[in-house]
Amino acid sequence: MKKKVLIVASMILMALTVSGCMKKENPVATDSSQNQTTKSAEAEVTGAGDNLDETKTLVIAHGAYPQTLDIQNQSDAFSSRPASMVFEKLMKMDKDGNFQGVLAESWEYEDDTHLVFHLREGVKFHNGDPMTAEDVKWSLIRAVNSAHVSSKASFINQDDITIIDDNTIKVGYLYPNASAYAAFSNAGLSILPSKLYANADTADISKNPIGTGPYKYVDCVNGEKVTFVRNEDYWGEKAHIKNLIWKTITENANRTIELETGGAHFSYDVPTTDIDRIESDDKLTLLMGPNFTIQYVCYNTQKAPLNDVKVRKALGMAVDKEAIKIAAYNGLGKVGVGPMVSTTQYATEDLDVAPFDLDAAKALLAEAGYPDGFEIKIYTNENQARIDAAQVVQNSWAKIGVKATVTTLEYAAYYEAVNSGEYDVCFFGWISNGDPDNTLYGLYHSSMIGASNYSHTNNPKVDELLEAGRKELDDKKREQIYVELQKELVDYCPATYYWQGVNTYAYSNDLMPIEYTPYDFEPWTYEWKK
Amino acid sequence: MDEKNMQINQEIEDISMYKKQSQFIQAWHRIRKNKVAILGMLILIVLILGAVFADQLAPYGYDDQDVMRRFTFPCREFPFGTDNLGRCIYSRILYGARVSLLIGFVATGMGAVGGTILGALAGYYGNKADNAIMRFCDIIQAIPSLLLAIAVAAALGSGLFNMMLAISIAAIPRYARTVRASILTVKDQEFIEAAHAIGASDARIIMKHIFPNCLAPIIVQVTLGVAGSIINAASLSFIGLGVQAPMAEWGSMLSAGRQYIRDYWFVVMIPGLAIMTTILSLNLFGDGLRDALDPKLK
Amino acid sequence: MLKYTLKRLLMMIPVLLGVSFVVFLLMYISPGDPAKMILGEMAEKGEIEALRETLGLNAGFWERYFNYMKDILLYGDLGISYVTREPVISEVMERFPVTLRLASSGVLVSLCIGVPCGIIAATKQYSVFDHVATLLSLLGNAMPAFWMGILLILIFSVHLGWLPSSGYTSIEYMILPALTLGTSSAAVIMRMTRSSMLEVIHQDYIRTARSKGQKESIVIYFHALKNALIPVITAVGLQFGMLLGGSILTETIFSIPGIGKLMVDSIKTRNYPIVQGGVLILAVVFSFINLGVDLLYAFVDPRIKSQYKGAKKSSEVKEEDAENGEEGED
Repeated sequence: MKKKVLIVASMILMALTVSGCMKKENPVATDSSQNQTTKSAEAEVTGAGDNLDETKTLVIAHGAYPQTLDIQNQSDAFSSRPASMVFEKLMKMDKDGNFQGVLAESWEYEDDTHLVFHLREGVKFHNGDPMTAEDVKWSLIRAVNSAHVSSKASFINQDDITIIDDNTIKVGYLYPNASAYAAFSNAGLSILPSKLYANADTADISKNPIGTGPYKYVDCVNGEKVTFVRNEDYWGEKAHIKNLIWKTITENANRTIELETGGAHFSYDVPTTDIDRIESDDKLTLLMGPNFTIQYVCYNTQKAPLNDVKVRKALGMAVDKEAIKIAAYNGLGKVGVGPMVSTTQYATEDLDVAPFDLDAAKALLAEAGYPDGFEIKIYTNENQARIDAAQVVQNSWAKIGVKATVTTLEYAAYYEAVNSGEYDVCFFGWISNGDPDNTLYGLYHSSMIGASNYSHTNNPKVDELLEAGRKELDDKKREQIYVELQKELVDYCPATYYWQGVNTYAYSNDLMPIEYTPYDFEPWTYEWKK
Repeated sequence: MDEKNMQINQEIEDISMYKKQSQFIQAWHRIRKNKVAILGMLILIVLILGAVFADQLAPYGYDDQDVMRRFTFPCREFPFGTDNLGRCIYSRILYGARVSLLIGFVATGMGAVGGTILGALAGYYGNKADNAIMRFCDIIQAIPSLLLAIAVAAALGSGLFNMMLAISIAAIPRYARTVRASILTVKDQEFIEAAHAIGASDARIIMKHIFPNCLAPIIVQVTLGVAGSIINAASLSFIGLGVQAPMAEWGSMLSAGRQYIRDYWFVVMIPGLAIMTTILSLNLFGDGLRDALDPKLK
Repeated sequence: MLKYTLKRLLMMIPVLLGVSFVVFLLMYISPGDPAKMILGEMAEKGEIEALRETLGLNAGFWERYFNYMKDILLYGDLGISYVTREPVISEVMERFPVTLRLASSGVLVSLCIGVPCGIIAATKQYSVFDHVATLLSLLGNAMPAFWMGILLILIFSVHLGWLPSSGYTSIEYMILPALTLGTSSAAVIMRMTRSSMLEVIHQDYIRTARSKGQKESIVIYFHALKNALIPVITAVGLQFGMLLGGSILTETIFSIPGIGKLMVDSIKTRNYPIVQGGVLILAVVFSFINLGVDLLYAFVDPRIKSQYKGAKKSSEVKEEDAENGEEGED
C-alpha cells in the first residue's frame, strides 16, 4: 500500500517537473509577435513588407550580460551598448571623427575653461519629464563622482556649472582640456532625469532605466537578454524597428551559429575563425574594420634586467609580430608599430621601430651584457589570443637565449600580480576612443603607476609631453606634441606593440545594409529589407 | 598407515595453503576471468606506458611550434594533425597523458590518504572525534565538488600542484566515510576485543586487524576516483584555472580548441577521445575490481 | 521518525555555518581586487581606492566575517553584488529556477533513457541488447560533459540545424543541454535499474507469482518493477544534487543563465557576496535534498525504518525484501 503511494507520488513529481519545463519563460510583456524560431528564413508575418519593422523583433547578440544599465556606473561595452539604447549624451563622434550634437544643438567656448551648451528644445524623457539644463547639471556632477566614469569626467569643475536658462548651460573645467569633446561623447556622461533619480541607487536605475533615447526599456531576464521597444515620442527620427532584444551569448562560436540559424540578426565580435564562413554565406554579411585597440607586450621598466632600454629593445626585436598575427588572430588586423593605432588622431607610422631580427636581437643583448640570455616570467590572462601570442613570443625568445616561463592567471589574480610589480613581462591591450590623450595618458603617465600604467613607466619627458598634449588646444601644436611623444615612447620602449585590432561584426541579410564604423553602432537606424 | 598420514598431511597443507592465499590473490584470480576488466587494465597500461615513454615515443616536442603548418589534418607526418600553433597533437597527447594521469593519481592519492586518516580516527575513536570529523565532511560535501575545486583553485592560484590540491580536498569526505563505515562494522567484533584483552596497542589493532578490511573498498574507490579527478582537472582547465601554457593537458587542449571545432574538428575531438578512453578503462577495471573484491561473492 | 528529522535539521545548522566560513575564507585569501575587477583595466588608482573603502574591503578578516554573519543572522541580508549593486538574494533566486529546470530535465532524460533500457537489459540478460546497453552506458559515463555538449552542438545545431545552440527561451533550447547533463546520469540509472531488477527477478516471490500463472508482463511490470524502482528513485534524488553542481559546465557551453554559471563568473570577478550567498543557498538546497532522500529511503525500506521505530514485522520484511540498491558511483 505504502509502495503504491510512493510510486504515485513520484510520478506526480515527475509530471510536475515536466510541466515546469514546459512553462515558457516569458517575461516580456504583451507582444505576441515575438519572433523566436530557430529556423532561418522566417516567413513574413503579414503580406506587406513594410510591416516587418513593426512585427519582426531585431535580436542583437553580444558576449556578456550587462553588469548594470546605469550608464554612469558601468565600465565595459557590454553594459554601455544596451544602455545606450535608452540614454543619450550631449554629443557624439560620427564615423569621420567629427562631433555632432545629440542632446546639445550647438556649443561654443566662452574661454579656455568654459564651454556653453545650447540644448535641444522639446526633448522629453521616457516618463514624460522634459529635459532641461537642470538635468544636465545633475548628470554631469553625478558622472564626476562616479567611480567608474570619473576619470573621463574629472576635468569638469562640478562647482562651476552655471544654468543660464532651461536650455543653456555653462560648464567650467578645472584646466583646459583638448579632449573635452571626446569626453562629452562618452556614454558615461549621458544625461539622466534628475527629478526621477534624485535619490536613486545604481541598482534602482538599472532596474528601471529612463532616458531620452530612441528605445525604451521593457524588461530583462537576468543573464540572458534585455528587451526594448521603440520610443514613439522620440525627439528625432524614430527608430525603424519597433522591438529590440539584446541577447547574451557568451560562447563566441555560438554567436555565429545563432546568426546562421536566425536566432540573432546582428552579432558583435564574431570569432576570427568564422570570417571565411560568414563571407561565403550569402545570408550573412561581414563587417570588419580597424578599431582603436592595440595589443602589446608590456615590460616592467622598473625591474632588472628590463630596466635597461637595450634589453627591452632586444626583446622587442625578437617578437615575431607576423607569426602572432597568424597564430592568434588568423591573419586578420595589422601588426602594431607604435603606441597609437593608425585610426587614432595624430598617429604616425614614421617611427624608428626595429624589424624582427633574431641575430640583431642576440647581438644587442650581448651588448647590454647578457650574451647568454637570462630567465624571465611572462604573465598573461586567460584570453586565448593572448595565451597564443605569449607562446609564440616565448618560443622566439628561447632562440636568443631568453628562457621565459608563461604563467596564465585569471583576470583578478592577473591585475594583482601586475600592479604589485612582481612580473617581468605581461600582455595587455588598450581600447581608446580615438583621442590621443585617452590613448596614452593612462598607460604612460607616472601618476598612473599602480593603476593603468602597467609598464611602470616613470619618464619625466614622457610625463611632460603627456601633460602638455592634454592642455594644448591648437591643433597643429597638439599634433607636434603627440608625434614627439610617439617617438619618445618608441625610443624608451616600455612595450612592443604587436597588433592593431579589428572589429569583426556580422549581420543577417534580412536587414538593410549596415555600414562599418569603429564608433558606436546605432540600431535605431536599422530596418528590415522590404 | 604412512601413506594415509601423508595424504592427511597433504590435505592439511592444501587447506592451509588455501587459507594463506590472501584475499588479494583470490581477487586476482577472479578478475582474470573478467575479460572486460582485463581489457580496461590493458588500455590503462598502454596509456601509462605512453605517458612514461613520451620522450621516446613522441615525434615532436610538446612545444614545437611552427605557425606555418598550423591546422594540418591528420596525415602520416602528424598522425593526429597539428593545432593552432602548429604543434603536433599526437605528441601533445602523449605528454598530456603524463599530466592527466599524474593529476588523477596524485590528487586521488592525496584525497584517499587524507580521507583514510580522518575516517580511521572517526571510526576508531568515535564520539566527539567522530562527530567533528563527520561534520567537517558534511561541510565539504554540501558544496558541489567542482565549485569547491574552482574556489580553492582561485584562492590558491593556478598551477599543477594547486590544481591537485583543490581536487583532492573535494574527494576527502568520500574516503573518510568509506573507511569509517568499514571500521564500524569491524570494531565491535569479538576478535578486536580479544586483541584488546591480549594487550595490543591501538595502533597495532588498527594496522593489523582493522585496516586490511578497509583496503578493499578503498582500492575500488580510488580506481573510480581517479577517473573523477581526471574529469575535474579537465573541467578546471576548461574553465581556465588549470595548468600553464605551454604544458599539454587534455582538458586545456579541449578548451583551446573549442573555437576551431567547426573547421578543424580533430583539435577538439582527439583530446576528448583521450579523456574518454582513459575514464572508460578506469571504470571497466574499477568495476571488475569491485566485483572481485566483493566479500559477498566469497 | 520525527525525532530523527529534527535531529538532522539541527545538525544542518553547524554545517551551514561551516560552509559560510569556508567560502568566506577562500574568497578572502584569493588574490585579486574586486574593486579593480569592477572598474576595469583603465581605472585610476584613486578610483580603485575609493571603491575599496565603499565596499569595506580594507577591514580585517574577522571584522568582515562578523559583519557578514551579523547581516545574515539578524536581517537575512546576504549583501549586495559588487558588480550590479542588486541584492544577492534576488540575483541568485532569479537564476536558481533556471538551473532547477535544467537539472530536472536532466533527471527526466536520465529516467526516460535509463529505466526502460535497464528493464530490458535485465529481462533479456546477456542478450545483444544487454551488452550494447551496458557498453553505451559505460561510454556515457566516461564522456566528459563539456565534450558531449560541444559534440551535440556540432551535430544537431551546426550540421543538421535542428536545434538551437544557446539561450533559454522555450523547450527547444533545453533539449541539447538536458541531453548533455542527463547522459552520464542515464548511464548510472540504467545500470542501477538493471542490477536492481536482476536481484528482484531472482527472488522467491517472483517465482511464486509466475507459478501462480500470472502473465509475464504483469510479473515484470507490477511485482518486480515496483520493488526494483525504489533504490532507483532514491538514487535519482542523489543524482539531482549532483546535476545541480554539474550544471556549471553545461550552462557555460549553452549560455544558459543559471546559477552555476553565475558562480563561476562571480568567482572570476571576485564578486564575493554573490559567491558566498550562492554557495550558501546551494548548500542549503543540497542538505535538504540529502535529508529528503534519506527520509524517503527510510520511509520505504522497512528495515531501516524499523531502526527508528523499533518494531519489526517479519512477514512484511520478507515480502518487501528487494532492496539492496548500490549507491551510485562518484
